[in-house]
Amino acid sequence: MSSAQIALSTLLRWLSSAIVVLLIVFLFVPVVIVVILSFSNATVLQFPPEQFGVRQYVAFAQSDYWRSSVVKSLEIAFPTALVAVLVGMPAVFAFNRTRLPFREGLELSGLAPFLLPGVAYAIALFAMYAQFHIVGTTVGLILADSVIALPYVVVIVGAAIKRVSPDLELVAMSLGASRGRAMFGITFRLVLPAILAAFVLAFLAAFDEATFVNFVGGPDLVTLPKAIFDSLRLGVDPLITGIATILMAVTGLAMTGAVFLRRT
Amino acid sequence: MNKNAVGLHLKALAKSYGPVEAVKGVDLTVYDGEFLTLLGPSGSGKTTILRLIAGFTLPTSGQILIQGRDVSRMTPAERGIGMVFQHYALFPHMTVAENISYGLKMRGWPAAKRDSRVREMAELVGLHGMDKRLPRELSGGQQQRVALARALAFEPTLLLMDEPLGALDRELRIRMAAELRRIHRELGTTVVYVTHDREEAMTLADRVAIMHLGLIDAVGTPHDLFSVPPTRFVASFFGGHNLVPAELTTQSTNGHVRVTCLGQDVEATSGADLSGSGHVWVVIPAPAVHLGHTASPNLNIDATVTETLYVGGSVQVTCDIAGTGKLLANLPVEDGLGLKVGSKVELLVKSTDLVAVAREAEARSTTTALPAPSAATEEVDDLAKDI
Repeated sequence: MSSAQIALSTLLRWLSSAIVVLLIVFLFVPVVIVVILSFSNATVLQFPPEQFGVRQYVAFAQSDYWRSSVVKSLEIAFPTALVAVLVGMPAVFAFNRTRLPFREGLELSGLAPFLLPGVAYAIALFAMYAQFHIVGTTVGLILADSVIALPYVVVIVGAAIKRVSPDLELVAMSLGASRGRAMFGITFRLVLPAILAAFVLAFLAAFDEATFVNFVGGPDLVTLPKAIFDSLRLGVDPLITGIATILMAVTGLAMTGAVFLRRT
Repeated sequence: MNKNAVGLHLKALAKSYGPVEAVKGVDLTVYDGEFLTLLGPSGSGKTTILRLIAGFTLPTSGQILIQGRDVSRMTPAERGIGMVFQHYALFPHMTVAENISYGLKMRGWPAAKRDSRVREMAELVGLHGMDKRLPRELSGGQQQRVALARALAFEPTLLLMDEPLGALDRELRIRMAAELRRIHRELGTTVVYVTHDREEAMTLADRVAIMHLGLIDAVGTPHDLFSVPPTRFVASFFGGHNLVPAELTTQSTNGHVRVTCLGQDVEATSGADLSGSGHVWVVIPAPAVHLGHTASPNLNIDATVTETLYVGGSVQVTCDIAGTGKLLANLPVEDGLGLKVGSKVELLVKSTDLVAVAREAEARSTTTALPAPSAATEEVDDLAKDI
């Protein structure tokens, strides 16, 4: 290699490092700014804050509007994650442990919600829900959110079960276990961390969901993301920075937990 | 242990997957305490037979009897068979001790008895003091020892092993094979051992059952099958012997026949009844080929050397017999090293080393004087995923 080529490749290496650093800065600066803003005591958004404090958090905790929206989000997200796991688990077992016809196609359809344009799907859902008079109901929103939560179960639990050899169940049966005991005691036990991880991610997906709730939630079903959108219409309340910080912290913790669960 | 009692009996056992007949009506008797190897190329149906015996799949027809008890339709748990898989199949979330005691727990052994049995088994397979380890902290050989201890802990009447040494490197394989022999000697459990490796079958087994296209081609001691192969497939797959086409001239009664081979009239041993077959193969073991030329009763071969390979201790010489095909010879170093590729060579085989086998399997293998490698049959064993 000539010295010119060495110089060029060194330059390229520096350039690519610089791009990576810029990307990270670009991604994290808003996060950092929001966190800093949330600890400002001002009643309007201003950066840098003049006085630090926990005013935004106190206001959030004292507001019925915000508290009830958080409760509503929890009421939606928990059942959604449960439905996704209860529907997704048997599907994953069927995709991987049976000779079900068309199982590749079915498995792909389990991932389809990742690819669907959300707004288009929400419009279709709204039309259908209107027919059944379930617009604005908690159950209706849980069902809609379950659709986008399902792929987390199909992907995460599916990947986990592919790493569990079918021989393990056979060996358990030869050692005296019934078929059910072999399946639950061995295979299910081994994918349990993945199921919990999928539950966490499905929960977050539903908690964070802001499209469906605007279509099928009606005027009265106010989840946290909906409440944030609504509040923006009246102007920017700095309280949102506090909510954003809490959300990011909780999400970060939950994701860390999910990653940890998948490793065990 | 009664050497004449039957440990396992397969009666006309057959298994089809849709139109594919993986096992086509197999009869086999394994005696109590015997170490029997099922040897065959992939797709020959040997793994399917193992899964049928274990109860992971049910036979299309036929019966499986363990010590006289018909288990054909029982669940794997009811059969009381120990099983060792090629990839160990240890429970990754359980320690060595928990793995070994799993079968005891499932069978309702009290905790104190379980613990002492686990220690006993760990001792037997040479895993003393490792009971708290997880499978991923063990080497491949150690993992296979755990799998063996786990399969034997509940004192099964029958132990099935599916290529248990296949995932180990060569040196470890030889050590583990010796260990297997020792453990079998100590416990006297009946063993059915599946492999495609003829060396493994030869060194481990009391008797070998050779599988070919869903049927058992022959059963016998390794020595009998090697020295007097009853079929062409046994001669090529198990013995690795040369095959030269010949014509049967005289059928005699004392296990000897006269054949015309390479234009010479020679005597040969016959491992099976050859009546009615004019065309036969003459089996020539590579070590039985010598340099030289003498009159009958020996078989003389004129050939051209096409390749020589020094393999340490002997020279492997590949020759071409004009109009017939290749012949493999294992010559002593002093004879073989001097041979030049392309040179003519005179070879002879003593008639006592010749075996004649029938030539009926023509339809499924090409006519060649070379030992045909295992036919590239479809891997039907993989279809056995219906449990």
